[in-house]
Amino acid sequence: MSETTTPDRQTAAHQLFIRLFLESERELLRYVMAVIPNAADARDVLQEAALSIWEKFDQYDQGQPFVPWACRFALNKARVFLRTQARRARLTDEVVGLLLAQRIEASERLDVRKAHLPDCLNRLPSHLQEVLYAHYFDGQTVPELSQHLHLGVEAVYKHLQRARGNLQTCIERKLASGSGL
Amino acid sequence: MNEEELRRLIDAYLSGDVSEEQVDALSNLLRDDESVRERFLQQADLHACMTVDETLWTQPADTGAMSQKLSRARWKIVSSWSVSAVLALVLLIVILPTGKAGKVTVVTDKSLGLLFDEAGAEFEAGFGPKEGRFESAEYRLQAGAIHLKLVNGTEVLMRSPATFRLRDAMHLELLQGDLRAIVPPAAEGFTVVTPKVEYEDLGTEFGVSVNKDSSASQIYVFDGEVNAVETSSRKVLSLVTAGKSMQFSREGLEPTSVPEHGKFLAPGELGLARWSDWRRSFVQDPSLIGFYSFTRNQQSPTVLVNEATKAGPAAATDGAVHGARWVAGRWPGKDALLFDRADDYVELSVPGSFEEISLSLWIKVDQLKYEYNALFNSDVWEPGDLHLQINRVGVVRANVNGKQSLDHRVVSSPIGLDQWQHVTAVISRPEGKIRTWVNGELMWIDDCQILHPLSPGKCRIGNWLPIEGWQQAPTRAFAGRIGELAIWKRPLTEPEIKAQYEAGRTTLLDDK
Repeated sequence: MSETTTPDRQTAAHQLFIRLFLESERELLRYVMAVIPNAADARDVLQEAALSIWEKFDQYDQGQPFVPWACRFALNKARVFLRTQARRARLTDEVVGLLLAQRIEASERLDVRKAHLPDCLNRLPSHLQEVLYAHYFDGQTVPELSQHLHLGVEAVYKHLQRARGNLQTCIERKLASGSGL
Repeated sequence: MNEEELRRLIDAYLSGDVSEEQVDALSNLLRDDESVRERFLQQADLHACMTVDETLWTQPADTGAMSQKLSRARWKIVSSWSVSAVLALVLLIVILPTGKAGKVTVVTDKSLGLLFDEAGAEFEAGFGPKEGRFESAEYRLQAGAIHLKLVNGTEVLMRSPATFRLRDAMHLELLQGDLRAIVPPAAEGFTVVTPKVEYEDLGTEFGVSVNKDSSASQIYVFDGEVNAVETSSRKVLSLVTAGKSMQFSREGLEPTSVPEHGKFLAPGELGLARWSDWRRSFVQDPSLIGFYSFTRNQQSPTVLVNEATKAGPAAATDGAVHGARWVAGRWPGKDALLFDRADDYVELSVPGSFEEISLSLWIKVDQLKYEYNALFNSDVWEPGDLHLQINRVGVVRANVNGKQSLDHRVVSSPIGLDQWQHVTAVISRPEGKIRTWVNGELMWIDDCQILHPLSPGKCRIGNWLPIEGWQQAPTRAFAGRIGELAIWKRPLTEPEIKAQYEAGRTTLLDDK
């Protein structure tokens, strides 16, 4: 923000920024997780991005939606973060760039898929619901799940993989059948 | 690669369960084929939605798996913590360069003030505050010390013996004893009335003493100015300025020597006094196998001394401080260790194995940076090991290796940031229960079958040494201050937990 901004205007800008940011936080995190699947890392990147977004907030046109404007900063931070990670076991910078560009363009398609997710979750067998709940909502890591469920680590990965695979299949069936929401 | 193989490869990448060769193969596919990128984005978004959209897990459902849910409202609050910390920082730096948020206290119409803190305070029967509220009345403090806050923001601290009358929020009549008054600008004009002289504040901090027998009074001004007004004539006898002391006796008002250090009770001294009294009796418990008061040892600051003297061979070792730095604790004069780097920790050992263990800590959380933030964790993770951690949303959870969980649930609000809080965990193998409390309130219950005796062994305070060779082992470094740790080889009762919280809390008006 400009240093010449008056305190009242600055306060009003802060309040607007905080409201918009809190409203959009989940959506922004969703964007970042397109290339940083680890939720903790993605949240850290979003924290970094929050400061950048605030610094540029005087350039934000309030007539335009906030998320598309703010997600540029979040995605830039994501790319910078990935460059600092060890090269091992990560996608190349070129691929990350391609994915980020396509992620913005795919937003509406992904939103349609997301809208089918609650019903598909309810259709999952209960043991797969349970493992997804424990992992995603309760935050249990795979080794912890392994202990709680008395399964090997590989078996837990397979359960999670099967659950997510079933969800994808369910969503695609619904899209193919033109199922209403 | 067929559709199913591609789906599995992407899923493995998103789970972090993937080899370098597989990542290279996936990179090539993504680079060359837009439809593969579309598939990748679909799967990544599914993973992201399940992570960030709590409503997926909190809508009404009839499955057993969904029965252990946090309320939606609570999740909505806590899920924003990570970023709200940044927002708060922005606010503090840019909007609020000075000042700090005040505590809102609801006071009834008749109340003139509240008991803010006390240490062993006893009032004469019929001359004490009712439920910590002071009204227009006479009060006789017979033992201990008090810190009261008046509705206009004036703070008054005094030790026993002291007798005073509150006339209204602007006039306190001191009949006997020593008091310190800290007067904010809004309460300028606050007056301490003594038998012969009224000391009228002009925006300041001052101490007043009254001798019951001679009715003589003495004032010492710590900061600002005070008018000394003769009660009978309403004449200003003197303007007493900072660093000056005056005495009013039969000879009138005259300069006198500066009172000895400690004559007037200072804020913060009360809590420390209360805790010090409690600590003396507390360490006598033979079931206490570790008590670390986090008092800096001047000769060996890297040693965290176990002060539990009655534990015998079951005693935990002294701690070895690695990286964590000595800083101010709950009160002036009380130390704590600051953990703010990923490799800060204190290492100690709890030998032996137990059927039941209790742990309690005083902590001040700066940030919940990781999925789990370690308070007290056995190294690695072997049968009988014990972990006490705070998860990212602020739920304090204890866990033991070799446990079959039957049901677990959160029963109170997540832990707050930036304030001293008392955390307790009780693990009972015979009872099949693991519970945690924060500030004396039950937070987490895990009904379970614990398969092995509890054997914490080598442990870290504020961090975790992960399993060797686990390449993607998560960081669990705690970010904040720790000011006390106690370990018992028995289950604490709820009244004991509440009593410990009461003894160690920073002030009586702490938020629960």
